[in-house]
Amino acid sequence: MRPLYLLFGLLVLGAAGTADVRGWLASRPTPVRNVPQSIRDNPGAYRSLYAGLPRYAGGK
Amino acid sequence: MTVRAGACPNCGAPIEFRWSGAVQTVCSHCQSVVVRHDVNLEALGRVSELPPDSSPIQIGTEGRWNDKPFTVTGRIAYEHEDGAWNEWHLVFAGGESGWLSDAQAEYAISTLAPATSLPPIGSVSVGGHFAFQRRPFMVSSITTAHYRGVEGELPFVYWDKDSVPFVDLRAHDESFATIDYSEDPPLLFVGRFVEYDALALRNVKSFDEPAAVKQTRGFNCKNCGAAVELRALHHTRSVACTTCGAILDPNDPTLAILQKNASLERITPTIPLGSRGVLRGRRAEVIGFQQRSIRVEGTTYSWNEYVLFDPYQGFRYLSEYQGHWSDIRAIHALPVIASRTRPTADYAGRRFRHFQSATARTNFVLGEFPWRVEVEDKVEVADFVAPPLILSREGTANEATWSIGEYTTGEEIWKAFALPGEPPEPVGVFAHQPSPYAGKTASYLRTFVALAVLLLLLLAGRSLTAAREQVFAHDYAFQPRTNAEAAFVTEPFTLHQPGTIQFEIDTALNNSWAYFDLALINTQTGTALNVAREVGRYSGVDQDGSWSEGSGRARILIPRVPAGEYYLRVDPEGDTANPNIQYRLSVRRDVVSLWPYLIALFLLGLGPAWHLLRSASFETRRWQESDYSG
Repeated sequence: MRPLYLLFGLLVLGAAGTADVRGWLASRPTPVRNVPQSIRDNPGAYRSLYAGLPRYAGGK
Repeated sequence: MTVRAGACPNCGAPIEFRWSGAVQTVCSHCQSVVVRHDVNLEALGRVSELPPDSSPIQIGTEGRWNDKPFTVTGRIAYEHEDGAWNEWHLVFAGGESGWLSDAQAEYAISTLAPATSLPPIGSVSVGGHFAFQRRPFMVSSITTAHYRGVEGELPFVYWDKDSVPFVDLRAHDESFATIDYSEDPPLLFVGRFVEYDALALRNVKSFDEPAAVKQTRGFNCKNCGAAVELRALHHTRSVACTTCGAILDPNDPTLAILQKNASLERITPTIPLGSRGVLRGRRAEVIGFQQRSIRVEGTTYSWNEYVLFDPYQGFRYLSEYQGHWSDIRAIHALPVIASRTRPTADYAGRRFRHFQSATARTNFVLGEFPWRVEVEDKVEVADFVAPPLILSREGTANEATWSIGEYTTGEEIWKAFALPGEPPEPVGVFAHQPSPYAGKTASYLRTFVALAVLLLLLLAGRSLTAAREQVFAHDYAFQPRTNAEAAFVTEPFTLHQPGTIQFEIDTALNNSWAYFDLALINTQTGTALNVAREVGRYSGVDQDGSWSEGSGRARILIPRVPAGEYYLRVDPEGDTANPNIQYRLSVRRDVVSLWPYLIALFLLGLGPAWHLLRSASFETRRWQESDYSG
């Protein structure tokens, strides 16, 4: 056993578990604040960041 | 019954045969050879006093071999053109007879082998192969030795010989055989080379201080008249005057000059001649120095060699090249050479890989050597390495000597000989320099596997304990061809605990696509988290066979979502060729993300990968200096 490497590995393992539980590694979308309550009545009026982006529409 | 004691028939001095099997002894008074018969003793003649030698062994020396104690009872002394040696007669505790050969403080024990058919000497040549006692041997030398005298008790009558032809044979281990052609039929002796320490000798001659000083031999150089000192005494075969560089034969009564100083430049040894110390647990005195070189592709590489001597352990050598040192000793076994693209040599259970072959030239010599050395000597050398060891062959195709060296640091040399200052830093990587990374690869891999198993257990534990609670799920259908507003919001749902959530989109699409613009909106704060994902699956058959690509499912992780009440705003789009797209939308909280574990596995792999990279780089630098650098 390589002591330094073992220590490094245990730290990595600890970080991996914590990252999973805390969601450190998954990218979190930027929150959009103060979305009006009227969205519930008129969902089509909401424009997300992704609205209007080009879509892939192909196959092989 | 034969007599065990009596009076010398020549001078009347008391004679005693201490060993029951002794046939001959030498009267210590008058040097008569006395042979015992059934009822009387007979004096056959007188032998001249044996010339002095430098062996630590003497009549009465006791030792142990193969757990059997023995006593030295007699000696036959021989000499030949390359030196002198003794055959000490041993009597073991059970009364068996054996022989301890002592040539320049190299020792071998042998016993008379049962009568066997031996080849006539005329049919034997160096390099020839024979098998004795079911073991293969190769003829290493054919020697005509000159009888110098006898002393003590011997198992046969032996005193009036002149020239004695010997054939020496060696094996792949430390076994050896000697055929003595002075008798008819010739006698075969089979035995093994042994280290001095392995014999546990007692009652040996003392070479310790101040006796060693007393036994140092000196004379004046025949060339320049300067004082020349011999530290290895009668083991020295040539000595280079430290003043004028002339090489002399100290065993020649006229001190024949073998070579006047042929060196153009004078080199000062790093370790002064006469330096004494204990290197790797063994005493050593520096008695000789030479510089040798090889020429490879137009470049000359020079290194220094030191001759070390101990009156009990014999000779060993040190080589020095750009701060790298080797502790070298001669070996008697014949390594097994395998000729392949890169030849190997097997010795003592290890495989050595060929490193370099070249012609070595002696450039400069100083001090004593146990062989006849001359400047401009040339010899073919081949080195095989198995760090930290190097196996070297010097000689011709038929006759060669082998030696084994162990890599030694300058610090060890400086400490052993109490040299002033600091040793020079080694330059580059030497042929048999041990890799600082060697032997650690397995350890790294073991640690990696252990950590990977721990990581797997961690992931398994996390998977078993993660709630994976489904907080929302609903089936929907969507008609892309209609112009109606497709966006809608879902019923509210509650996240009771903060954490990572996962959107799951499941469709049965084939050769179609759909796009989902999702917003997770907190009913209390009005904060939205927007994500979007396209799903699409295509398949078909072409000239290469069936194919498919894409997937009708999607998983979207959103970390660090606070607890609270939420609803989803969903805006689907789709392939207008598909009249109706059905899908299921669900949300789970406290899900496991594989990414941290995959990244951890990658990071864990960096340790062994870095180690392997450094190790490979070290080996590349090592082999750059070999015959295989191209």
